[in-house]
Amino acid sequence: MTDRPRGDDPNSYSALDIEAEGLTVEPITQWQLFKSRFVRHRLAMLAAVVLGVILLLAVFADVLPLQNPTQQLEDEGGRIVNLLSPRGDYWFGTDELGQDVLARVIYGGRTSLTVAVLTGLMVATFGTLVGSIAGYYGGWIDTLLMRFTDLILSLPLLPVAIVAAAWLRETFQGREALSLAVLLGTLLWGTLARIVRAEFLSLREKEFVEAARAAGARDRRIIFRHILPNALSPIIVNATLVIGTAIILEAALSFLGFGVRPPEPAWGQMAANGGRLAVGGSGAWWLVLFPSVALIVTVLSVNFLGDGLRDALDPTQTIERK
Amino acid sequence: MLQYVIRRLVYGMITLLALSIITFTLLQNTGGDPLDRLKSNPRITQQAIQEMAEFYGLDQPGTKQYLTWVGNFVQVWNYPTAWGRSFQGPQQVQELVLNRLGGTARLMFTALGLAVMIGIPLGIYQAIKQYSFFDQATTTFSFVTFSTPIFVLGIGLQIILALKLEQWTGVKFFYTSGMNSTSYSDLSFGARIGDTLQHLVLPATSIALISIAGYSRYQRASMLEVMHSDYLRTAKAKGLSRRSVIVKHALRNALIPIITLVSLDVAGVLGGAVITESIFAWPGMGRLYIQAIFLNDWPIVMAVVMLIGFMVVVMNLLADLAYGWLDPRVRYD
Amino acid sequence: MSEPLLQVSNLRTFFSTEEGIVRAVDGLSFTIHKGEKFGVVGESGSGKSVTALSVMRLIEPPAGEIVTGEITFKGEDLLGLKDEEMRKVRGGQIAMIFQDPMTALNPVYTIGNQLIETIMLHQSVGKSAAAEIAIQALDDVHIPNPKVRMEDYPHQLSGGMRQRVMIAMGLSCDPDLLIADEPTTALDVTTQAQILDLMLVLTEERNTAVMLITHDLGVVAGFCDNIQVMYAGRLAERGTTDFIFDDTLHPYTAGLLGSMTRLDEVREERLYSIRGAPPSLIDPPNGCRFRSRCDFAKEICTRDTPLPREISEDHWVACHFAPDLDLIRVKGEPVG
Repeated sequence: MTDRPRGDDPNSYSALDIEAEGLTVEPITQWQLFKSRFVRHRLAMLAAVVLGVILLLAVFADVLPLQNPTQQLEDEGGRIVNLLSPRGDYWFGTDELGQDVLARVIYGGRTSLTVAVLTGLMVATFGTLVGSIAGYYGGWIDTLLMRFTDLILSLPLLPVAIVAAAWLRETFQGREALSLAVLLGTLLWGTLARIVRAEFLSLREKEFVEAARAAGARDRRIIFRHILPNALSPIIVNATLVIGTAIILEAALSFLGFGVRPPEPAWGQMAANGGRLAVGGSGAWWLVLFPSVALIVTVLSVNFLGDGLRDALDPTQTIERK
Repeated sequence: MLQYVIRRLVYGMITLLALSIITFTLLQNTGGDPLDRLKSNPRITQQAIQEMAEFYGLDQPGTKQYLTWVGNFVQVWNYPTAWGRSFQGPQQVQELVLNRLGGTARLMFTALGLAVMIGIPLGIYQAIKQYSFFDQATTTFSFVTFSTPIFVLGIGLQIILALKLEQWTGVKFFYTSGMNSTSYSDLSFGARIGDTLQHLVLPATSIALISIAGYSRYQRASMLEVMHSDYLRTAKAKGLSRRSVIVKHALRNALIPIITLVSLDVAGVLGGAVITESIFAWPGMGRLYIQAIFLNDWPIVMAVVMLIGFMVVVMNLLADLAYGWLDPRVRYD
Repeated sequence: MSEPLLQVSNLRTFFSTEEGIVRAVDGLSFTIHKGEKFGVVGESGSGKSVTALSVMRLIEPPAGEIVTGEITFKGEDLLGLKDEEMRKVRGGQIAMIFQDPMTALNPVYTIGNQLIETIMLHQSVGKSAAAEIAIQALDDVHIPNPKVRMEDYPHQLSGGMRQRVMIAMGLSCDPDLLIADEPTTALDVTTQAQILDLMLVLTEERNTAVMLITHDLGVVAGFCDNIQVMYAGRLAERGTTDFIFDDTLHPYTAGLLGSMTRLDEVREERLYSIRGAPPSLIDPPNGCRFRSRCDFAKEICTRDTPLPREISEDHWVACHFAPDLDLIRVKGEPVG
């Protein structure tokens, strides 16, 4: 007699779980559990909606009735309307050069999100490639690739990023968003590579992979058709969380002057610029507040979404790895 | 054990070597010439610039320059000439960088200390009181802080706790720039401490906040995992009190993984220091680093990068050793 | 039978989950006497572990709660004890051994440390005396070189050795009742037999009662005086080991027996397997909970909940048709 296989009856699993876990089920009331799950999932859902809206705004910035983000606006008298506080015509006010802050925040979102999403894609590609090759083939290939990964992971991130940003900017003349994405993508794939490798190490021993191998499938087919789909959850979760990291790093680099350069807007650069003015006593709080809030809300949404995805897709990985 | 340490040190050295090559290559290929400023000065002759280039070895091929630099750099005992001379004047890089080390260290250790002393107990308490209002409020706070760039925190602290607070109360609580007031040397001992703190609090807090958020999130998760473990159930079944169960059986297991996080965070804190020092005009290595990069003063850039890299390598090694000391399952081989 | 040690009556332990209230144990009564070896058998989800944790009062509110019932141990009402008094019972008078010895010991403390902790908690002895007792306890469970092993960490021992340590820890304070929750499930077959023998010998010597929880009737067969078969949080059948094996009354017990593999006999029939899966314990319907898997189910099984009836002395069964069912075709020829 062995334990009955689970899942014959979809209604039975919760009872079985309780039994199987015994005391390890965290004791909380139905209401508390409901609330916490609800809040979590609601937050992840809400985060997805917020992100969707932000993405739409960024993508369709051209279509929206916005001012030109890099145009110095003038009043009827031909004077530049700089440092106007938020008002009817200028919802988010204007900056010290007379540019419309609302337009700049939305176009800045386009820049920041382009950098972040490109970085996420690069990390997903690099990390998956390195991790899967190392995990699948093992042996000296694994040792070599993982030593390299360790090396990348042990570089001090920001100082190296600063030096590299200065170099990349010259290489990618004018295409700063792309150069930043290449930079961040190159520096951030290490964690994902480790995760993917671990997944592959365990998956390659599974029966269905043995079966595919016995059936004469080639390595490439086994990797892409059989193993990778099963390792997808951690890849998606990590790539999502990397997007948040990338936005923050892009902002930090922009703040130091190694990111996107004016007049092209980006959130970090706008917040940094506004901050300097505010600390200098300009009183123009709107120059700091709006880009900062846009940035924080976006990163927060990405992180909530990532956590929600992790809960949904990958319940075993509960501990944060920074 | 000794073998393990030696092997780790060798890996660490390879990492540092790679770091130096990467950084040097990037710096070499970054357009600006370190002597640009001199060249644009009409009073300096072509002849003089040529001599300068020869003096610094800039006329040599990159590889040769690198080898010369490494050869000198490792001879740290040749103070203060080992790390070369700044392009901006007569200062020796070693002297310049080591003078700034103190400022960064003051900032870093204060921030790390705050983060460890607040972040870790916070995470443990959140886990013990899981789902309470306190837990939810502080977890939300951690989440928001974790999603905020450090310079936004720094600027926010400056605006609210320095500028606005002074406007409202008429009393200057905190300074927004520098490590001490210019009148520092004239102050009494007590006033010196006050002055130091007034300068230190805001920059250190802005770095610490991010780490507190990170540590508490991690510690909470780690503590929860331990609290659901079988051996904790055994401890309860033995008849231990809730207090002993937590203090003796849960805490030690839950604290072990955070060591790694804290040691890895040293790199993050130093990176944060680069930004914070810029915001708060803090005379540390980070600010020196940024200035040097803008001026293409690569001996300084190299020295700072290598110093940070060195600290990261050492901290990681120490963390692994501490891990093995606390967790009997870890074997060094 | 000697005097009763543990009396559980009408126990209901429920858990709150987001899907609803799980009635993990739903109206269970039984008695364990001094020195008795009492087996509790059932599938995952039958409520056997929750019963044990309820007795230990390790069901922690607010998620899990003992809703009704009485648990009397040596004449004392356990549910009425203060936390502090209950802690003296736990580990002292009632000890518990868990399923997975690999994770049941704290990895960062030595075996000796964890043994001494238990002993000093329940006996007023000093550290060195406690160490003596601990070494003796390790010796009793046949751990070679107990003095040296005291300094070992759990990861340095094999699974079987760790379970021996758990038994030593459980018996170190000479409890009246030892609850063993699937103590051998995680071990390989040869080690299983050794551990069971060891537990039997040691508890016989000390006249310790054992509540042995398992999903495997084979495990309880040679060990227990009485067996209680549980299904979906309730009693299915209870009786002496002979009754359960030879005069089986409940179709579920028969199904368990029919699906049991035995090494000591050649089976003529196909190995039986009970079709279907246990019902959800969230809002379970009226009637017999086994009916959807039962070959003998009739209309009455849907309508009325079968209450436990004493068919012969100390042989209880919760089935409308007992003892009139022909269970031979389910469980095969009588064994033993």
